[in-house]
Amino acid sequence: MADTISKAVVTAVAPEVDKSNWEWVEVPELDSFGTPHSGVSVNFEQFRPGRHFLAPELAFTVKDLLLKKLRADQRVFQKNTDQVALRLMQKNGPQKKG
Amino acid sequence: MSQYQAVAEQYGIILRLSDLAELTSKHDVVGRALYVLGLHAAETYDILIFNVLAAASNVYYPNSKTSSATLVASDKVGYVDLTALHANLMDQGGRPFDDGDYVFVVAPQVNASMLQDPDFKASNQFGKPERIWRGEVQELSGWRIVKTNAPGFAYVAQTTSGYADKVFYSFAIARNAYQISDLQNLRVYAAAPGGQTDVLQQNRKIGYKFAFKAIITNQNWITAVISAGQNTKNHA
Repeated sequence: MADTISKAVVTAVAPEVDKSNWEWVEVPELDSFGTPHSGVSVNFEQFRPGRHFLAPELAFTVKDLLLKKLRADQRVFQKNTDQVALRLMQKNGPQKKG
Repeated sequence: MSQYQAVAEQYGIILRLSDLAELTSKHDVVGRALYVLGLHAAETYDILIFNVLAAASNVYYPNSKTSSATLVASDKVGYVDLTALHANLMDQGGRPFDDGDYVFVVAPQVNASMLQDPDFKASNQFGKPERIWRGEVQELSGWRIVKTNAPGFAYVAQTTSGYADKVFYSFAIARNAYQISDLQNLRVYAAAPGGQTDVLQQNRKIGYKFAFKAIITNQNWITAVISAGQNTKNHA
């Protein structure tokens, strides 16, 4: 007879996940243009508008993606030059390569 | 057809060569200046696109990691990741490029780790060994692999306490995922010495300018892949 184990037993022995340090992350309903926010994804897991209760590392990444999306939306209507790009060019551009 | 509004940014550099510099230099300073300016312009263009793509809303980490802060040397991109990314882009309705593949843009160190992927080696060692000889992955699992050493693709050092490894950005892209403005072509301008303000013909001016904007027009068709590279070492 094959070894089997019931779902109830699995539930009983599975360690409880400590969620005391988890946090809520909110994906807004609308983006900077007033259109529905398309959400973000990490490893194909979608985080659509609404509140999500996430482990700290994942929460950090989702918040970072939301911040990047906000900045990217703002960049669309900014005419000032991309300072990050210019700094990178100073650091790694052709002047350094000779 | 969708229309997008954006405000263009303008980039450029101008440099002045004196007559003495031209007269006393052992090499062709004008030719060299034109070459460096052209390279500078092209790399600036590349970084501007990189910075837009790096803000993609969808990210993927190998080995189910959920943050670049805890990536380790073994978190490299391989065949398994490419198959998953390919399936996801197809699910999202991403259109392939003309050759039927999606495009995966990688830094040299990520390309090196893919060259050492056992699945890549096994699938090419008998049929297409020239890929191994040349160090070009070229095509794998429906992806056209493009390696680049453009400045934007330089590694990012982890800043998390206890982690100081090198991590790299790659981009998995379907057709029309992002758009670039076509307002003003990249062009290098050169003006010979002379004129009312330079009667002694002491100044030669060379420069370039271009107006630019890039925007991601479909977030579902691009994924930023953050991984270790071949030279990523675990901290002690």
